[in-house]
Formats: sequence, C-alpha cells, structure tokens
Amino acid sequence: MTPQMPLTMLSEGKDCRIREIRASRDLKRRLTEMGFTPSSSVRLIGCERGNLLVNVNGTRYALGRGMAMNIMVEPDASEGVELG
Amino acid sequence: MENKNKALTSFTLLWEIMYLAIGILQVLKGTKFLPDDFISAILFPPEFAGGLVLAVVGAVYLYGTIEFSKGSVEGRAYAYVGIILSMLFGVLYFLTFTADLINAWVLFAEGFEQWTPLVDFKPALYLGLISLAIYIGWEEEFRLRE
Amino acid sequence: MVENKIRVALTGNPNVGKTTIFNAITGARQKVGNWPGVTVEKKVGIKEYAGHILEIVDLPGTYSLTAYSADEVVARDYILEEKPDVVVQVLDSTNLERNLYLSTQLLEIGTNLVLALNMSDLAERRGDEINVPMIEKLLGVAMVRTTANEGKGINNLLDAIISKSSSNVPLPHEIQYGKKVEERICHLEKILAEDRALMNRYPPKWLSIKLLEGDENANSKLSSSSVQPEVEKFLSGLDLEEYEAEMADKRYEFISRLLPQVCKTCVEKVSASDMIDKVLTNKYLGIPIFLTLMWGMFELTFTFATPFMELIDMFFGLLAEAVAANIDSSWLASLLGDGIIAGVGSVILFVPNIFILFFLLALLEDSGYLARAAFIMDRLMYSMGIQGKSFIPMLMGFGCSVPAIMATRTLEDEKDRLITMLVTPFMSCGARMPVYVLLAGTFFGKQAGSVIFGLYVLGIIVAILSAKLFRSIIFKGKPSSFIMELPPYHRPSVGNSFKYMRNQGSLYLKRVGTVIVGGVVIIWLLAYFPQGVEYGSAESYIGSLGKLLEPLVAPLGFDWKIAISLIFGFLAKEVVLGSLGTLYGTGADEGMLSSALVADSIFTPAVALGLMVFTLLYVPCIGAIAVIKKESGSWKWMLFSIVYSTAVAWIMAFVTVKMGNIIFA
Repeated sequence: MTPQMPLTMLSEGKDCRIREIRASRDLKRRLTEMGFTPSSSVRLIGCERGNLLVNVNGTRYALGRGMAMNIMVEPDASEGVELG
Repeated sequence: MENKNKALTSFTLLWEIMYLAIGILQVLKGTKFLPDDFISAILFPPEFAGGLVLAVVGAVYLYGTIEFSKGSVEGRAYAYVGIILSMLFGVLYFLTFTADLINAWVLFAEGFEQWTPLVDFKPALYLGLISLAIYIGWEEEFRLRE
Repeated sequence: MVENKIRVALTGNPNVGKTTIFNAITGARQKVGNWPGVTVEKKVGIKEYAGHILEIVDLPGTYSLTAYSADEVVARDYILEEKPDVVVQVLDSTNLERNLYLSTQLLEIGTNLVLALNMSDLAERRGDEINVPMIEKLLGVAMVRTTANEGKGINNLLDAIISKSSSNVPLPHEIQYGKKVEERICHLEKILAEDRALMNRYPPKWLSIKLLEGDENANSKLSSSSVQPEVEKFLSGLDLEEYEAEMADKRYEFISRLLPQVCKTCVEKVSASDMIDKVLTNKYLGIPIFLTLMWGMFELTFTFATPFMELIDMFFGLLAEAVAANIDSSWLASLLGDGIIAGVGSVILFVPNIFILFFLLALLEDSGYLARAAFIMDRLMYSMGIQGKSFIPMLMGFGCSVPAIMATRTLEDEKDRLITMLVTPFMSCGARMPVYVLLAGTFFGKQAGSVIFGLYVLGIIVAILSAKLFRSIIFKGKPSSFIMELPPYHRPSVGNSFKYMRNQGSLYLKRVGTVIVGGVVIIWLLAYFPQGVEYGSAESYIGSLGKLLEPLVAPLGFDWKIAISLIFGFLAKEVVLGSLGTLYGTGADEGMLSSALVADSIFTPAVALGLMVFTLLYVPCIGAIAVIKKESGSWKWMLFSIVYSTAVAWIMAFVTVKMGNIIFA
C-alpha cells in the first residue's frame, strides 16, 4: 500500500508522482494537459503559506492552495527519474 | 565555498546596513521625527516614500545575510536580487535627475526656478551608482549559475 | 511563373515567441507576450518568398487541442475545417516535454507539420543537444532551429514550410493508448465509417479519440450525422473522464520515451530562476518588493513625463496664439482655438504619461516578473473575492481601461472574468489624471500630490469592496483555483517593450483622437450657438442643456457647468476638463481656468474634491464601455456597469462634499 498525500504536504525539493486529481472535469483536463500525469515528474520548488511553486516536466507553475490540496501524490522513493 | 563567499557576504552585510540605516533615517526625517539636518541634510534628505524603498532593499540584503550566516547558498539569491534592485532604483533616480535637469535648465519650466542638481542627489542615486560600479566590476561573484 | 499560395497556420504554447516569429516573417507590428486582447483571434499576414506567396494565420496560443477554452476551439477548428497546407508549431526549446504535448495532438490530426525550435540559443547555452534529424525521422515532421528575437533561422523555417507544402499529407500519427483504449477506439472507428461524408471531413482515428475523451466540440460535429445515436449509446456506457486522463497520460509517456532518443542533457536542475523566485515570492519580502517596484514605476512615469509635457504645453500654446493672430474669421478661429486645439491639446498633454506607463509595464511583463506579482497578490486578493490573475488587468487599468478589460481573457472562469471587468474601471485610468491635476493643484496647492494619491487609493478600495459585494450577491461562490505558468526570468527586451508601447499607444491615440476631436467639435457647436451668444455661457445651447440637468447634481453642490462637463466625460474623461475650459471661457489655458474656478463661488474645496471623486468612479469612457459589451457578450453587463459606477460615484461624491463642507468650513 503506497501512501498518498495531497501535494501541499510534500516537502520541498522532493519529487513525486501524481496518483489522483480530485477536481471538476474541466480542471482535471487542464491539469493533465499541463503535465500532471502519472508519467510526469513533479517537484516542489517552494511553498509559501499554502501557495506552491512546482516544477512539472521542466515547466514552472504556481498553484493556489485550493488547487494543490486536491492533487494527490505519492513521493518517489528514489531520487526521482530524470527524463531525457 | 566559504572563502569564496567572503567578499560577497561582506558586501551584503555592508550594503544591508547602509540601505536600512539610510532608509530609516530618511523616513524619520520625512515624518518629522528627526530634524532635516540630523547628520547631514544634503546626503540624507528627508523622503518618506523613497526612504521606505531603501529600507525594503536593505531588508532584502538582511535576509541574504541571515541565509549566509546559516551557511546556506540561498544567500546568493538575495544578494543578487538586492543588487539588481539597488541598480534599478539608482537608474530610476538618475532618470528623475535628468528629467528635472531638462525641466530646470533647458525648458525653464514653472516651479523649477530653485532647482539645483543637489536637490536630486539622493541616497538611492549614489548608492545605486556605486552598486552599478560594483556589479560591473565583480559580476562573476554575483552569478547564480550552479 | 504562376505563384501558388501556401496557407500556413501558426500554433504553439503561449509564451514561446510565436508572435515574434509571426512578426519576423510578416513584418507586421505585434506585441510579444501572453497578454491576450492584443493577439486577436485571427491574425493574418502575407510573405512573398522564393516565388511563393505564404498566407500565415497566427492562431491563439494553446497548450493542447482539447476544446477547453474558446482559444483552443478556434485554433483547432481552423486546422480541422480550413485545412491549411502547412502547420507550423513554435516550441520553446528549453521546455520540450510540455511543448511536445501539442505536437502529439497535431500529429494525430494528420497535418503537414513543421516544428520551429524557438529559443534555441537559450537551449544551447544550457548545454542541451537536440538531435534534429532524429526527431524529423521519428515523427515525420520537419524541424528548424530558430531564435526569433534575434531573427535567426527564419529563412530556414520558410524553406521548410515551402518544401513541406509540396509533400503529401502524412497518415495520422499513431500513439499506442494501451489495449483497452485501443479497442474502444477501433469500435468507434467502425461506427463512424458508416458516415462517408464524416470520414472525408475528419480523420477517423482522431475523431474517435476525441469522442472517447468526451470532447464536446467533437461531439457536436456529429450532430447531423446518421451515426450519432449509435455513438451516443456506445459512449454513454463508459467513464469518459477516466479515458481522457488515461490518454493524456499515454501521450506524456510517449513523449518521455521519445525524448531520451533525441535529446541529451535536457534536464532541469534548480535554476537561477528558481532561486530568484524564492526571494521575490518570499513570505515577508514578496509584497514589499512588489510595492516598491510599483511605486518606482508610477514615480518614473510622472517625473520622466514632465519635460515632454512641458514641451507639448508650449507647443499647443504657441499654436493657439498663431491661430488667434492669423485667422480672421471669428467663428473659425474660435472653432480651432477654443475647440479643437484646446480639446486635443489637453489630451495629448498626458500622452507621455500613458506611453511611459505602457513601456514600463511591458518591460516588467517581459522579464517574467508580473506572473510572480500576480502570484503574490493572489493570496491577498482571494479573500477579496478576486483571484491573482485578475491582478494584471487591474494593473493595466491604471494606464487605460480598454486594453485592461481585453486582458481579462486570461481568466477562464466566467464569474472571475465578469467581476474583474466590472471592477477594473475603478482603477483610475490615465485619462482621469488631467482632471485631478487641475482641480487638486488649484484647490489644494501643496497637498495636491497626496490628494491625488488618496484618490487612487480610493479607487482601489472601491474596486475591492465592489468585488466583495458582487461575490456575495450576484456571483456567489469563490474565485476559481489559481494555476499559472511562471515563465523563466530573462532580460526584458527593450525593443519588444518599445513595440508594445508604440502599438498600444497608437491604438489609444486613435481611439481617443477620433472620439475627442468629435466630442470637442460638438461641444464647441453647442457652446457657440445660437449665433451671437457669449461663448459657453448659460444662453447657449450647451447652457440650456446644462440647466436641464442641473437638478440631478444639485445635491452634490454641482452647478450646470459641472453637470455638462460630466456628461461629456462619458465620451472620454479628458473632455471633462475641456468642457470646463469651454464653459468658463478660458479655453486651453489651464492657469486661467484655475483662477476662474477659484473665482466661482460654487467651487469650494469640498466641491472640487467631490468632483474629483465623481470623476474617479463614474462610468468609464465610451471606448471602455464598448469593450465591456464586446468582452462580456451582452448589453446587460454593459448597462450594469454604467448604472452601478454612476450610482457609486454619485453616492461617494455626495458623502465627500457633505463631509468636505464640514471639514473645510
């Protein structure tokens, strides 16, 4: 059983994989398009009072807290796969 | 890593003190808590908004110093942003200076009869120009590339 | 030799430099950046090259071709329905993974694809090595390296376009979606095959894929087809959301398997931009830094504009004198002198301000900072009922409401968008400045600066409170969740910012010039006639009109002259001042107007303040109103904006004047 947690609880600098997105249809679609899929690597750059800066597939995004809380992730056990 | 950063940390510390101190001084003079000629009216004229700006920049350097003291490499980021801000505002005040110069001596505009270059010779200007010189001379030190 | 026309569609993610490439090819003037409203839905350009005529359509920047937003539908429909000869996708070389997502979709539609690897200089500096021939082979595309802002690689790109145009349309590219999904796709294809017409129009596999994803727009393309009921039935038994997610994932998997084969060292480590971000979005420093930058921007706008304003003032003064001295016909002299020169002069006077503000905003945006600013402000703004992305339009509102309202297109949530549109006009635009400067300068002397600052702050407060009000009464709910791409920082391009300034500035002048000249002439006409009457006095037509309206503003202590000025302010805010000048008979001379106002007993400091508050808040100019109608798509909101803002203005002005009477008595 792998532990799942919301993106907001991820520690800085760690990589993780997306497990589930709890959001409306349109939102989910938007997120998956941007790369929030299980095969993409997501790393947390910084977190200020709930608003997150993440690096997804090499692109930097800012996420509001509300959004981040609905993205369930599983941290990578290893250091994280580098793509390319 | 420690020794290479010595110069940078000292600079950050020094500039932090300068900006914070002068900024606060200007604010206090601007709000009339201190007389205009406290220490020097020419070098540190009263200016509320401008003083606050200096203080904020000083705070950036302050953060940098704190990070450096923790041994963290993040301090460099603060020093970098700090000096960019210093230069930016230096340029801003320089442009103001130029605009006022044209107004007073080329166009003879109203309200500028009493103007002398000294009026616009503000701390943000000279500190900014010095920062510019430092940046040009020691750009390598400030680079953020790993 | 017969020149054949090659139709080219230009697509790509936002922020990749697509517009720069469009400009470089067609030489048109456009803005670079992700501020919509300037990149209008369809931009077409022509280029003659090597004996061919290329017609290039610049499609809106999109992340993918699913129909999530109007932009994406436009882009996709153009490619599907208009079937351009070549599709060029502009990619950000430093960000291949995300950019390739769009490529997979274009490949699935089956277009003649040319990939422009833009920002290749940045990628090279990072040490990325991209194997172009390999990608061309694996994907069946043509690929060209470009660095658009230095103009490199454009000719190569054009060559590639021309050679691609003569090759056959390739078979739609195949991405393997996994057994379960592929089975479904197959089944759908079989159903669709029954409708010949449909199959000729759209690639079958692509259509099946989209239907399986639950794409509504694709669904609507079936509406007149015979196979629609069967498709409906098939799809209704499936969880389409799941398929959609699965398929998106497979696409990224495809990309991640592709990349190692074609690119060395395309790895993102902690970059300089990340480190800078830590500082600029710092919990305690973020907002102060932002405030200082904003202060710096406005300060520079005002101080640096003054010499230019002096020059303009002098010029118009001389012009007015020359006219007065040389033209004999009194009515013509009056029309030119009192009417046009005065009116236009008062507008042009503030142009340097607007231009400089546009320039600085463009510089900030180009550097990448504004995205962070929106991010920082989001925290604050959320509790006010607006989200961070509304921030950029509101900031633009300080220059001019028109591009600001157009900029609300970035907001996907309809409610957020409407609220922002209704609230942005309260951010005191550049056109209202002349009124403040004159009134505050006349009645408040040394405190003028603080008074004006106070007005700006009042505008912001009213905006925020209105947003809260709208949220709780009209648009119930919370602002939509915030997600925003943060482009990497880079040295802002002065050239691009200049172009932006020139474009927006000239649009502004055009807008303002036509309306104001027109308005000024009308005012002049009303003020001059009936013949023989004293110009701008109570006996003229304009006076009669004013007297009629006076009761409406009497409680505010305004008289008929003020009433008229405000009415004409509807055309453009600068006209308020022009009207006052006409009515007091002082024409273009601000000094004289100033004295005239003081001399008029109606005008007390309280009334002046009330007038400024009214001007600040009431209905924005006709240009802005028109844009609100266009962007919101209905008359309802436009009317609401007019009524609401005027009501708020009236109430606030009333309160101000009453309080002012007490304070200044």
